[in-house]
Amino acid sequence: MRLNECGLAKLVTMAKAGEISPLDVASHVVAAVEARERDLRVFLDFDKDELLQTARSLTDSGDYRRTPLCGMPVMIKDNICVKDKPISCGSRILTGYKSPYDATVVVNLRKNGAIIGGKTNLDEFAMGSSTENSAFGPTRNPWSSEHAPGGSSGGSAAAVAADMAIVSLGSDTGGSIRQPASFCGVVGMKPTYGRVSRYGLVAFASSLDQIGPVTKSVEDSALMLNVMCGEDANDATSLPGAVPDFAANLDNGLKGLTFGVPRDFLEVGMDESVKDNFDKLVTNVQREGARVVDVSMPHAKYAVACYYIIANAEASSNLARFDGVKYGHRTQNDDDIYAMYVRTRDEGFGDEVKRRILLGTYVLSAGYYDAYYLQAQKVRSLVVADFAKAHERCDMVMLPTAPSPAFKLGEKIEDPLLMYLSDVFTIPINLAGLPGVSIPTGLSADRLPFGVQFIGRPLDESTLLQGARAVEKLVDFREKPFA
Amino acid sequence: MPSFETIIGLEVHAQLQTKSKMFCGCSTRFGSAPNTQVCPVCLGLPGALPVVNVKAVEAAVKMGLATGCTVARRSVFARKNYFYPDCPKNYQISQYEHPLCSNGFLHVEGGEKRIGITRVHLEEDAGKLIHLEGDDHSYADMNRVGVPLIEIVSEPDIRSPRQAASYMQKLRTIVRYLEICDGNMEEGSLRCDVNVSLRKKGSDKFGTKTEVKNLNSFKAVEQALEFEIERQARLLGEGRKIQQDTLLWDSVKGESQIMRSKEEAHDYRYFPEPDLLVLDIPESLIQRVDTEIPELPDAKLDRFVSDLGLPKYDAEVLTSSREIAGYFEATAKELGDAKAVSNWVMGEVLRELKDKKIDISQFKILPRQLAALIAEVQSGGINMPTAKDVFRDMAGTGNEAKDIIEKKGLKQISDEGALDAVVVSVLDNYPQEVAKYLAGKDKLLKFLVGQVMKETRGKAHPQKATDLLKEALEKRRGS
Amino acid sequence: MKIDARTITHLEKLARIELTAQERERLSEQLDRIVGYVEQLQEVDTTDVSPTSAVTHQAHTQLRADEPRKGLERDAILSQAPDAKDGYFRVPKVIER
Repeated sequence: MRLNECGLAKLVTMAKAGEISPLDVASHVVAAVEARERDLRVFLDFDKDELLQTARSLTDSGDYRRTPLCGMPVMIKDNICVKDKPISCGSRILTGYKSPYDATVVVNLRKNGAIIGGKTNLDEFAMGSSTENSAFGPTRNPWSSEHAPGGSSGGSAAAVAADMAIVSLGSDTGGSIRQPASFCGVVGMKPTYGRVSRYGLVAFASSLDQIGPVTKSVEDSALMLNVMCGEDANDATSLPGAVPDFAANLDNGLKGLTFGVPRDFLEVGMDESVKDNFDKLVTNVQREGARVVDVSMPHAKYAVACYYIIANAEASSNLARFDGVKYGHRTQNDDDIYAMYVRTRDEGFGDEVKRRILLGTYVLSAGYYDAYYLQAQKVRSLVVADFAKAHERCDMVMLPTAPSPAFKLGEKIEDPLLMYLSDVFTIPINLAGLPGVSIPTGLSADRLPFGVQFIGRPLDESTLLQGARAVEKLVDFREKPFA
Repeated sequence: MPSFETIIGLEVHAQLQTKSKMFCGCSTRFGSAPNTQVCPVCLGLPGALPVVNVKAVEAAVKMGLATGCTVARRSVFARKNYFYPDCPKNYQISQYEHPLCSNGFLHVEGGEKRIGITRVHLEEDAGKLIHLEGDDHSYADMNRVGVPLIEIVSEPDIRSPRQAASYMQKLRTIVRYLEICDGNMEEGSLRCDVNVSLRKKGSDKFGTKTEVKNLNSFKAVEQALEFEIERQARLLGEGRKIQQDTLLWDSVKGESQIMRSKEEAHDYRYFPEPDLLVLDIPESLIQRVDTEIPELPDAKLDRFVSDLGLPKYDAEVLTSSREIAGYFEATAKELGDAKAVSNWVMGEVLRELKDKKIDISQFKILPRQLAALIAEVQSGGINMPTAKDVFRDMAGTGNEAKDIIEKKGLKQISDEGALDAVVVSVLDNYPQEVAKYLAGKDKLLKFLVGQVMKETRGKAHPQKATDLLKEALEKRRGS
Repeated sequence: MKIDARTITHLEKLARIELTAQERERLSEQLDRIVGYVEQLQEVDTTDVSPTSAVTHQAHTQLRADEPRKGLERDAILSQAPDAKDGYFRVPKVIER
């Protein structure tokens, strides 16, 4: 059995039973990385010796069997800080920088027995939907090397899809976990805003960013959430209170659940194949005993416009700290402080980051704040209200994760607006701070995965995962990228 | 030249005396080696997040309550965006649209002048940037980054440089009473920017204002304002317009220079800080903080005047420091004669503190001991010159007045028999002076009293000595 | 055209990014299209709608006690700096703000 192809839940069970060791799993993962990394370019940093070494000492001590994650490796998106490891965020501006501290989520993972593995590729500062904005080149979709893996957590999704990882962490600001999960045929989950501490996640848009897992099953996502979530004294926006056992209701099935389909929002348009896949799934879900109701979300179509104002306003400020003074890249042309700033940032940032910083600066600048930023915040309130109303009628809203299966590398990179619209179905969820999970729901004629996402009530990941798990069983997606 | 009215508003920054910084656990200690009190949060390392220090919030609420402000139950932190190498994130976390406290006031000029306080809000300090002559680099120390500040913005109610300095002094007194800021202007714990404009007398429209920055003493506030008012008056007098500039005061040269013009003015792009949610102030916090506010200088002053019968001037001097006022009051309570104590505290005690450059907590004479010393004078046990010597001894040693008097044999000689003998011997020793006195040179009495004091090594009761001398001299006139 | 050359030059200054002439041309055209797209928000009636700056299921910000904690070692920080000297971060001379 190739252990790297197994899911987290299964490996944990086997490890607890003494059938396998962390070293066995790490060895299989390393072998897969060595075989596939050259073609896929998933990792920005991968230290196989360290991974094996850590797995070996855990195995020798035997302690791993008493921890929830049993010494399984977790790959980390390279915008999450791991102590003494380089962190690039896919940008040249952080050249040479190593984080002197662990992100809280990394601390939590370590505490629960995970081995922190390699750092995965992403769009620069998580700004993008294809990983093409990475300064270090795009990751390839394991299903087709001509296609994008989605983004920005494209490396994390591709790693899990290609069995170069058991699970990985991504970050989701406008769909950056769910959309690549959908493109790569794996499960991607964004928890309720505040569930997972953002301390140590390099901020793109603070009011929207949320860390979540990319996994091979809904059950694995639940196991990951159980060890990732919790209040953090270092993140003032983290949610207080006890963390429920997200795996508790997993197998309660479809019965008694109500799914809401926002027909008005779906009119924004999508590929015919995506629509077919989605509609068939809706019919199936209904047939299997769940209730399906129409809900209305009249403001969701404005979410993309709203998002590009709010996210970029915050980003323009969040990315101001990359200035060549304290860490990372500094230009050689530093005659005076102003020249140092502008040239460092011109050399360090890629096109998309510059576009977004300039746009964010524009919408906050004197004379434009009310028309753009304030209006966007108000529209955000309306999007939040749409969901609240929808959730009065259903347990979870159901939407395609993306309007198309994976697109080709290079297909949209010259047209930013077109690229932005590939997040049309994921963005509203971030604006509303809600939990959402994308699961694979089939393959296109070109053997590219479809994904459907479920959007739960705030803080109710348990019911959301129950529904997603039931649909996952129903779909029974078993295809693998490598035939 | 038409006569102008001066319109002044102050923006004062006070560093709060917390143990840790505004948004992280780093120490706020002053004077440490550069870049030794920093962490991922205050250095703006990628991924770090701010968390608000509750003590700083309480201090700001305290200031708000003490200056009659409305404390907002919900206020909002905002980012002020600008690039500068002493600001690691290149934005400062401050408050903008929804400050913590607003609409307060305080009084200066003995309660005659009311100055409105627009707002008191929380923010974080920047680091220190050092420029060396002849070096084409600047050097950044981030220890101060993130030290909590309150910014206190006044209404444009101030009408003269002197009034501005009084306002500043009053703010300093209040923050020190509240024990939220040490008020040390030299170390930059209390800093001030001024906005100033002129308008024709009688006009109700404001003129164009300029801002003068970097005023780190009361003198600088006054001088910089005088300089700027004169400059504006000269320009207006010449029929020229005032530009809305920002100026920088140079206290060495005694002049200000234009730092940037309006065209270069910043566009700070304030927006709500998304890393912090709404700052919620529960009623219970306001109530608790309210109980921690001590009697404030104005109330204390009124009480010293009405209850203790002090002159207003005395009360003002004594209440300018909470510790001095406390010392005075404790001493007055011991002695039961407020005015006598006031004279001693305003004279000898303050002089001693100034000479030794110490504060009252380091002063060796306890209120009880000072009261005992004054009592010795009042009972005639020692005379005033002796008392001052004893005071200096006490200030050095901390010994009791009684012991010093006894040990040094300083007890005043009031006994008439003993004094008589000295008087007789003085008169015998200075026959010429006696003769001149008797011939009408009254002034020589003082000389003769001095001789008696000398003979008794200062211990003679001055009045008694004078009386006895006069008596003996009159007797000699008769003989 | 909302994002003309003058506007973008102003934004570059505020954001401390200096574009090359070529970049400026390309980005201003792209930005103009994006701004054109987000203009659709103006059609939404937001009368009496209050703005949302954060969606959270927690009412207010968490506070921390005033307890000092050890920070980072200076050498560890300055060794990451592009330029440092004598315990300070070193930058090209700053004359005025």
